[in-house]
Amino acid sequence: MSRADETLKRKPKRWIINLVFVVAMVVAIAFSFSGSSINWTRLRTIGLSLKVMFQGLADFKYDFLFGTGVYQFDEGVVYMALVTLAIAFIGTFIGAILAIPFGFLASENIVGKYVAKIGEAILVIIRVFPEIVLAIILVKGFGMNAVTGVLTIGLHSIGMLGKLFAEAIDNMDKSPLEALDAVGANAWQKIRYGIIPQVAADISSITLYRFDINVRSATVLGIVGAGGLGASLILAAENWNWDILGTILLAIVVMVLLVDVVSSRLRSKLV
Amino acid sequence: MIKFVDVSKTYPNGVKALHGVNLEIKDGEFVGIIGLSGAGKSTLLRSINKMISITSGKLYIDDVEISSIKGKELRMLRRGIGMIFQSFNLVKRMSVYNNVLTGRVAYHPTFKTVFGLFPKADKLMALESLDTMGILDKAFTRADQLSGGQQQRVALARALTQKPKLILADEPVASLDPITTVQVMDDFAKINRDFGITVIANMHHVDLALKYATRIIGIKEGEVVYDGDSKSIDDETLVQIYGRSLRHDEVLGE
Repeated sequence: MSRADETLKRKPKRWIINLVFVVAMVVAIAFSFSGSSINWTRLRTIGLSLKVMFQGLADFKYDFLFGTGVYQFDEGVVYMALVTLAIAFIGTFIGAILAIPFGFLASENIVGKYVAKIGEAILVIIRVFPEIVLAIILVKGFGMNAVTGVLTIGLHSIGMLGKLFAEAIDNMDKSPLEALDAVGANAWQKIRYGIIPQVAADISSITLYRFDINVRSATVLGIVGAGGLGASLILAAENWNWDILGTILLAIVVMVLLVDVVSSRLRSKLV
Repeated sequence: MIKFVDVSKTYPNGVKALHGVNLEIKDGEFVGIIGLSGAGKSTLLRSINKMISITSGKLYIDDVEISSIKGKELRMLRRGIGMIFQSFNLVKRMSVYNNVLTGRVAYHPTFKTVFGLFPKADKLMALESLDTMGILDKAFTRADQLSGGQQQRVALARALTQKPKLILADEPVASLDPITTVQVMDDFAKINRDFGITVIANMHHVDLALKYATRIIGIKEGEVVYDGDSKSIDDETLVQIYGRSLRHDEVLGE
């Protein structure tokens, strides 16, 4: 028997584990169906509902879109979209500024293994807290307005931004820091000339990406009263105002697409 | 003047890198340190600017005992000593000019340097150093656009901008090709000759060390086994340092 044949016989047998995994998945899916109840009457009329919805959605309200005619400018969708963008922008900006010290605190390169674990733990706590829950709490304190949206986005962004900033700092080339030590630089000078020039592009790119995410969150946060488009969206949906809803959705799609295109263009220019 | 008095260094893991080293290096010398990998060359070099702290003995630089200094005093010591590394240690995303200018940071208060406020004299100093190294035209290019030899020259310009009395070079040409190696070594010779800056360099290539250095220090297992003129070194001494004689193909060759 050749050595290749012998080695083939020693090939680890994985099929048992794979089989167990597949069976477990099938059982789980079957079980999850057993608990669901389907409203058949509603399902039968869904065609009609969808027809009404799409007719309404296709009927744009131009006055409502631009805030002309019977609407004031600050009641129009364009104005609300701008408010939403502003909430996302200021929130991201605040979040990024606050995330920088957290990024340093969670970087092994800067503070060492043990302190970095503490910094990381803080960031994990911020991250696991759902944004919408944070908004619901903050609405009680700051009221149903844009400030709540800005604070929610700002605080929540720290979790992801801090983590990614720390990774950027950990991935950078450490040798310039050695050189700066050798020229007699102190800690601040090492940050300014050794770390910032290396991570600035990464930090900007990460922040832009988060802005992208935050534009979407800002719309959703409006639903719980944190300012922006979301409030009108939920109101229109509850009143079956499909024409108004359609106009708002159009604005959201255009806004998100624009932000996406602009931010990915900018990010590809960085690094 | 640098003076080692019975200097030893034991690393926390028990490795004895230096053992009872006594040396005196005068201003303006070009010293080549040779020895096998792990013999303690790097430790010897780095103990001079306290990148590595010695565990016993005394080390004097211009009659100042440095083994106990720290903080601001240590930074003041280091700003007067240039250091060159095998991998250049430049910030690759920063311009050549800004890299060179970092040689001045320890001369100014933190808040000024953090905002990038360097006096005009310093800016000119940085550009003059680049001119000395022959790469003034690259001043505003990003460091990663340059070849290895050019990057090492930027590092040398950074060291020159410190206005040092001494330059330490830790394997300065180990990552360069043979032709660039000769050019960079010529630069070291020029700096040593024209500015009277003391140069202490660790080197893998024995023939390079013999060609450029005026004095050779041979290290073996943490001890100085040879210290003398680079011209009077012979095969027997090399056997002492390396444990056997070098074959023809182990030197760079001319």
